[in-house]
Amino acid sequence: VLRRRFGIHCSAHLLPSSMKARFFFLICLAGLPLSVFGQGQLNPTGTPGPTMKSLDQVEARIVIDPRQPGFTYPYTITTPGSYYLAGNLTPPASKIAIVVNSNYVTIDLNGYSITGVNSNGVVAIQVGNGNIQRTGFCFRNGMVNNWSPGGNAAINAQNACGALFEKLIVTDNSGGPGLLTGDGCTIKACIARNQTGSAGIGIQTGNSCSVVDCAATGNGGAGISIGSGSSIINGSASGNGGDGIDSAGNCSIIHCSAGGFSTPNFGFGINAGLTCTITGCTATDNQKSGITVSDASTVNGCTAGSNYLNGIVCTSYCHIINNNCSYNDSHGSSTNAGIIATGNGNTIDSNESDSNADQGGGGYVLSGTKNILVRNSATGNGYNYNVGSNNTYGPIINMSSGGVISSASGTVNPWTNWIH
Amino acid sequence: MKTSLLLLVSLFALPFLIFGQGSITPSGTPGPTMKSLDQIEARTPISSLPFTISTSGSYYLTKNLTAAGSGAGITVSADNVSIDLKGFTLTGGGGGTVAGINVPAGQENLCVRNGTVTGWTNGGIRASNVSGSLYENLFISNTSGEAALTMGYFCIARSCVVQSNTGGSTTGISGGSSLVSHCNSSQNSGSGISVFEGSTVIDCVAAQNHSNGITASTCTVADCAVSDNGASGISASQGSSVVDCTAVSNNTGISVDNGSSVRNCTTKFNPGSGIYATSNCTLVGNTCNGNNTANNSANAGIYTDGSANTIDSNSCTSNGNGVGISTPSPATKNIIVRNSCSGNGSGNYQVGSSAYGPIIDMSAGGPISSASGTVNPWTNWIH
Repeated sequence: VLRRRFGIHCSAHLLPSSMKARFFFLICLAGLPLSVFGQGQLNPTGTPGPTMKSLDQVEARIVIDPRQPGFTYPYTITTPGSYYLAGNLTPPASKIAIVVNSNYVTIDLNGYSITGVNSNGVVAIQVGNGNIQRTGFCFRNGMVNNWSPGGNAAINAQNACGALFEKLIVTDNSGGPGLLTGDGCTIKACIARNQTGSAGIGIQTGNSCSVVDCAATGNGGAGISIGSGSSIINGSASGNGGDGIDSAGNCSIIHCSAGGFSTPNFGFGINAGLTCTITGCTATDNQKSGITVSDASTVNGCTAGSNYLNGIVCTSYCHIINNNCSYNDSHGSSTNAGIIATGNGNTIDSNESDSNADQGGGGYVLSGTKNILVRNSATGNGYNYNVGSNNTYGPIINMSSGGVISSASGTVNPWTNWIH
Repeated sequence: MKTSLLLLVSLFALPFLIFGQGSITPSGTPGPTMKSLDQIEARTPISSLPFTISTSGSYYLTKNLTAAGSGAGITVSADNVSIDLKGFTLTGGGGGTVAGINVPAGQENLCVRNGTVTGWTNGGIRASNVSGSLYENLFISNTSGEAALTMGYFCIARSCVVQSNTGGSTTGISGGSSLVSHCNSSQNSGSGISVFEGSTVIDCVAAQNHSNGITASTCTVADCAVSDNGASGISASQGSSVVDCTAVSNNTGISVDNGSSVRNCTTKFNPGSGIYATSNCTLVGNTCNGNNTANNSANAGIYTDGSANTIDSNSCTSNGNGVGISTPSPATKNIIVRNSCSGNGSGNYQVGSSAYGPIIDMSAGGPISSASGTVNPWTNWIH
């Protein structure tokens, strides 16, 4: 068979003699290749590796667990790392909840709250201390409430520089700010509500901070107070005992709302310092003026209406442009106006100031000198324009009867201020 | 021999006797060396409905949950509560008029995030009694009742999609003195977003709602896109600001009243007017093109029948068989300057008794020069 099928020549004496033996021999021969090609090394190459995540890998962060035996307040962090809460923290009287004495610390409240109980004089969170500043701090996802930190902030992080605070609800703390940050911080999607007392500011930042998508309401002091060179974008600040938004100099305040018919701020809607820019904001129904700015600031494209006193007040060298200031002057006196420039050198251009008349107020009042007033419109005020001496202004033309603005009516001056 | 052996054993044992091993009594009870499962997921699981939260804390869903019986899905009766839907869905359909998450009494500080709420008959999240709440990363659909997401005062809704809530006149998102940002509220039977009292609506989309896209009173509405809504794209009142928004194919594009402002907005393809204003409003720098697709001659690119509005530097073009800018009687004391209109079917300007810059037709082209009498800086152009 081998000779015929495969051309293998075997001597007869090499083959077994019986039929069965020959068949068995052939089977063995057929199985030979399998035996020749072996199955590799049977010894393992090393010790068995992990096939599952360990618990420490599932949750690698460091737990802050008030249920853990031996847990004491304050929980003090002295090592950089990522920490998270495993339960509400309610320290006993006069105990701080968490002290952060390290850089690069993240604390995730994990949806839990840190609540004060008879916390007279102590804060909820203390970051850094004295002159020791901490950087790389991140604090998020939970609530901090009912602290009475004796003039300090419930989240006392003024020594945290370059920190991130987000998704926090900070409420019902007394005597100081709800959240106080250092310089260069970002505060995002936070709610600060009902801090009590005149020092009960909702959110108070250091310099060069960014406050984005935050709401600060019903606080005893200002809703949001930012340090020099900071910005507030997309904010809502209503029903505060002080100003809705209060800023130091060199700040930007963009797309914010301050006040409301049943939620007025008891101070100014927006009260900005030197060299600030206020753009696209709404300040209504506040119990002082809608927007006030100090020297060299810009107020552009804002609506400041139905405030108790004035719509917009500026001091000197400001640019007040494209604003609508109507229905102010519901309280106070006839010295109120839609727009008032108390100082010198302001440009007041292309604004509308209507119906500021409840107390006999005015549309525009320029009480300083060297201001320029052009291309504005006014109607329905107690008096529409009150321009002091040594100011520059376009002609004030009464077109309240309607009709075409033409050379025949002497109104072709491009800088005309209108009464309509 | 025995003595020698004893000596040797003693000699070997000597070092062990000299270097003692200290106390073998443990210094205390063994401490934990690993996290417990309770620490790894410390929050309270919600594994079935109905579920009542009466203790402050942090809760999460363990799976998709469906209504059972006729109660609310989750009832919140405590302050300081966080609910993480964890990507899961709360589905209604158990009968009765109930909400997915309901807060029946006054509470403070609720946070709901990360999941879907659908199919409930009294709102997806009914939390008008809660002050100071945060809602984020939610998808709320197919609910009925007053609103799909009813916030109280002083809240934030961000990155939520609220869609197809169609029972009755269901508003998508509502709240007072609140912030609504980066949300999409569409195909609801009421307004898409309804806010009041110093709220801010920013970077939102509201489309195909049966009523207004965005309804706002004393608010700021900025950087929003509204389209195909049954009433106004944006209806803003009582001293609101509408800035940098786009309103397309609504009934009226943007509607404002009483001391409100509309600036730098674009309205297009609205069957009614592009912008409608009542009194003391400022309409500046807007583009109103191709509105009045209903071809009603009473509509306009910009229309007011009120008084004391300033209409300045707008562009109104091709607004069907309507007017470019229209202030018909009884409108008074409006001022219309520096606008440009073109191709409006029923005339470019209908000024009524308003004050207005001269209307100069330059549709034939050419230089704007004193020779053509067009150097009046308040000129309204036809081009």
